[in-house]
Amino acid sequence: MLLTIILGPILGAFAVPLLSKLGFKPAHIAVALGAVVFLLSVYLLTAAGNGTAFVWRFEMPLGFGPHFELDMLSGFMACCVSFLSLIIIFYSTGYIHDADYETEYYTFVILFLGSMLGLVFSFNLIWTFVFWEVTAVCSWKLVGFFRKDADKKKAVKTFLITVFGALFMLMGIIAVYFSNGTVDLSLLKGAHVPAIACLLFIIGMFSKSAILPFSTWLPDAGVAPSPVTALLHAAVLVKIGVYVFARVFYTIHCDPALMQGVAFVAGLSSLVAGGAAIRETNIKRIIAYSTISQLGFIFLALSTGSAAGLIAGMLFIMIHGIAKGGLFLCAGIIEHKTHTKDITMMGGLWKVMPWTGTAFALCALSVAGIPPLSGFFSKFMVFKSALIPGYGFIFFMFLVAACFTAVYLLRTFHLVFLGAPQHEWAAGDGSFQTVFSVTLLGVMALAAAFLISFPVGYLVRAAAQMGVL
Amino acid sequence: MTILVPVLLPLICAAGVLVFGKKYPLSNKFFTFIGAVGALGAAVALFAQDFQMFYMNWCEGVLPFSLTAGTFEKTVVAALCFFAFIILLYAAKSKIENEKWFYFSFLFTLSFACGAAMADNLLLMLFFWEGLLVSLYIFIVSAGAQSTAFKAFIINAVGDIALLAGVVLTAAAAGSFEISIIKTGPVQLTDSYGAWAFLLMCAGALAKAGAVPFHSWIPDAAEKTNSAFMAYLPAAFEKILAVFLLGRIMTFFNLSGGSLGANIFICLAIPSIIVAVVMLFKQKDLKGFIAYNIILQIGLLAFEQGASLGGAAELVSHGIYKAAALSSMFLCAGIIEAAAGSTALDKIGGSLKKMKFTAVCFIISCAVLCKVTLLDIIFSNTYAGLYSGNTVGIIFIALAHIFILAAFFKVIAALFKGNTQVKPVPVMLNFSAGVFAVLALLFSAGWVFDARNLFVLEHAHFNFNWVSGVGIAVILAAVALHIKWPSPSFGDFTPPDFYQAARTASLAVSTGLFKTDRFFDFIIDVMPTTVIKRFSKKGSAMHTGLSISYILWALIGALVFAVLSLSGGWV
Repeated sequence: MLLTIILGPILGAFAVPLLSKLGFKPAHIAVALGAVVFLLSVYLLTAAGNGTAFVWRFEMPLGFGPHFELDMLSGFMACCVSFLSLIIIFYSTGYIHDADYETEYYTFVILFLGSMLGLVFSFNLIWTFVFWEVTAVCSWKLVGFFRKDADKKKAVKTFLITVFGALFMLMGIIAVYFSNGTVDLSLLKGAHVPAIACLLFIIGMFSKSAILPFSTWLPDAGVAPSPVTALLHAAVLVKIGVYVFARVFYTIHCDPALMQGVAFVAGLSSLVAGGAAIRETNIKRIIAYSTISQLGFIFLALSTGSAAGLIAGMLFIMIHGIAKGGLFLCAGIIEHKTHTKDITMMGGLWKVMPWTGTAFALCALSVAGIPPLSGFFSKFMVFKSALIPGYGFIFFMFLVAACFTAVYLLRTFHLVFLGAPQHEWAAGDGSFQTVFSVTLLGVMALAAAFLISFPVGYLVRAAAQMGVL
Repeated sequence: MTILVPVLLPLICAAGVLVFGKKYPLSNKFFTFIGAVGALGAAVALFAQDFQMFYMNWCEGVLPFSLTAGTFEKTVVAALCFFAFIILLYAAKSKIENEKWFYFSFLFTLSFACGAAMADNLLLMLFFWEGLLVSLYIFIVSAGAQSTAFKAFIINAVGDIALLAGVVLTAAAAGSFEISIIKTGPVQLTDSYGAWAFLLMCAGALAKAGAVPFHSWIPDAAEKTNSAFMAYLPAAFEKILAVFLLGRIMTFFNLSGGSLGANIFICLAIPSIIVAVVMLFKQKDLKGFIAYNIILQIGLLAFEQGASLGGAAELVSHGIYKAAALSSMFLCAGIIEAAAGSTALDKIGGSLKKMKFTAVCFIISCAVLCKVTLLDIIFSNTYAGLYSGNTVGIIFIALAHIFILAAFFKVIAALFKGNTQVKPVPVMLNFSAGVFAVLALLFSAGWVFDARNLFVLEHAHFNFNWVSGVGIAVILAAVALHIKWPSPSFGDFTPPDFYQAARTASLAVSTGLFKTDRFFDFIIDVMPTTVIKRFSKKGSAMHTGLSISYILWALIGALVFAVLSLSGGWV
């Protein structure tokens, strides 16, 4: 089953160009693959919850063989990833109309999904690294999708920074191998790992999850099509770093001072990104800065090393993925309508695109953590988990970052949807697929608040399974 | 299940407004009426029952949906529902823009305010409390005041984040989020988180009520939105909720061990009093004048609480009569606006001469807020703490009251002098204003909400002592000030606009942070790219195509290798 959910999309990605030659539409193939992967992940989520074990190993010399395992944490993450990917693929069917590159687009999106799932289920750090790098290749190709010189430059920047960080992580993996004799996480449970190896890991994770000083690739990657930015830079790709952080640092034993350092840098990153978002006028860059800022909150929670931190961090990944994915997708609809990304050139869009406006408002409120939206719970749980000795100043930094979040998101909403229109906009939101996708995410951002007990209950059991509760 | 009605029924009706409001405009008022009357009925029914509670596990180990209705909660919920009902009667007869969103926000506010009042869990309380941000924003934005809505949202969001921090710290200090548990073992201010928790909780409560520096959206909203909204949210609900939370705070913390708690209250109150007193004299618009009264009254309330450290019930009674008076004043302002077409003081002179009922309501409300009703200022025992020797406090509050009274004299005089033409207004508008005026009068005379007997008049004020003389002196001094110096200008002094200052500061900070981001971009992207480009340019220049250069390269490499090998550098 694990191989099916990983290899299905990876092999499916290569089938997309072949089947498109036979007359099948790449969009349809992608949606079908996305739906199947999502259904499988739901099955695995349920199975993990019921305690069913799924393990797949392949022995290789030096213990470098792949080892995939289903536990509650990976089941949860896989479900989040596949759900958001499915929504974004569906959105893409109403957004990507470039016949020349459509096949390539869906190929890489599906390949990305497969590699992401491989990473999620991988318990061998070498294979985590392999899938990690495959996602980097996919993101390079997708960011430069429009093929303008500027786009290609940004794609290369994205690739180089994340690969640069990944090299540090590789050194960390090698260091773990030499110090502990294995890179299999199931054998590293509770092991003491040298601080330098932990530091190398953290650099890699920071680069992937866009934390200072490696954060600047994320706003630049906004040149990609909106579904790509939603998929890679809000909902899924940037969550790799935090997920692997949770997976690794809730398995091995690390110096608490280093974790406090992580929280401090994450706080600084949140503040800098929040401040930059207030000054920015490009809608996609604002949302990208917001992502950087919010990723800091996840690192804050996870750096505590507590069960509360794990639950808060993973819940934040889910809720932020829904809301931020929605915001990026709304930005895509808005860009299609206005042909600009500059929010000062918009205004008055509420009257012509009420559905998008409503979805944007719901997602923005959720990211800002305002009740009754679900973001309130994740924000609160992060703050609750961070109330530990030595975190006083860091706690304060994140309070300020939370204020910044409310400011830049409300400012964006005001300039885009309210105020005097800068042009005479034609009425209408967008294609059915795009509007349906953002509406669904907006509704989910709200509904998740009332159904919050399900993910939280699951994560509580996941924390117990990981031995931190 | 009665306990759920004030929370759920308005919310369901709000959903009805949202769904049907645009297509069937009449349904807006219909749903709102159902929601408000149902909630009021449930609130009254709660009084007929003993302690009520509801428990549902909303989120495992994180958030139980637990509501309780003891005496304190019932009082607050009854007050909220009553205010909502009376203001609804007013709103139904007044001109409201964007009715759908107004009534949606009206019901949403009622639901969440009742939820906040009855929540038995700090997180649940925070959920309802912060949720009010949404309706506040929609109320103002639907009235067309977009920049004010932005300001109100941000100011209140900052206050709510302070409250969130306070809630987390309080729960950490008390070891529980359950309000009923925290009350059984109040937090000491000397605990590790105690003082911070207390300060942040108080700041959150006062921010909601518009205390300085969280005040500047209120005068703007008064100018740009309708009177019904102002009477409903800033004047009534936010005031009642603030006193409710302050009352809760009094039970969460043990303040008896020292003066820190009292000093925090007083320090938070003084800026509001000073700013509001100065601004009262500068107002040329009736709504602006009342708006600054909102700020003033929360300052006075916090000051008196600091001075007396009174109990929760006393605080709520105090807050309700202030809310009633302020609401009545706003409704009167709305009536004057409807009748005279303006609220600018120089355009409505003499209007009250022709609107006798409105005039009576307005004067009663003014008198209540000035504490001269039934000579309350003289006999009030809310100053008990001050009487016990705090001379500086007595002088400060006496001076403040002299100016407050003089400012009221000035406005009342402006409303009676002149001959502005007025047109008739619906009776229902006056009815609502009148109800609040009577309520304010009763409360200021000593009527206290009692769970067992709603209509008990428990006059607890007659406590004549030497400080009462100060009260008489205050009134005489205010009269003298009004006659001799009717419009004190305070020179060019204008209190700082904290919102603007914070905005300027945050823009400067965000510019700095943006530059920091660009600096890191330079370090990570521009610099390496430049270095590599130059390096590769140099390297490419070294490829001369001559054999000698490659031999030289190889020799240098061999030399380095040899040196490293011989020195043991590889090991």
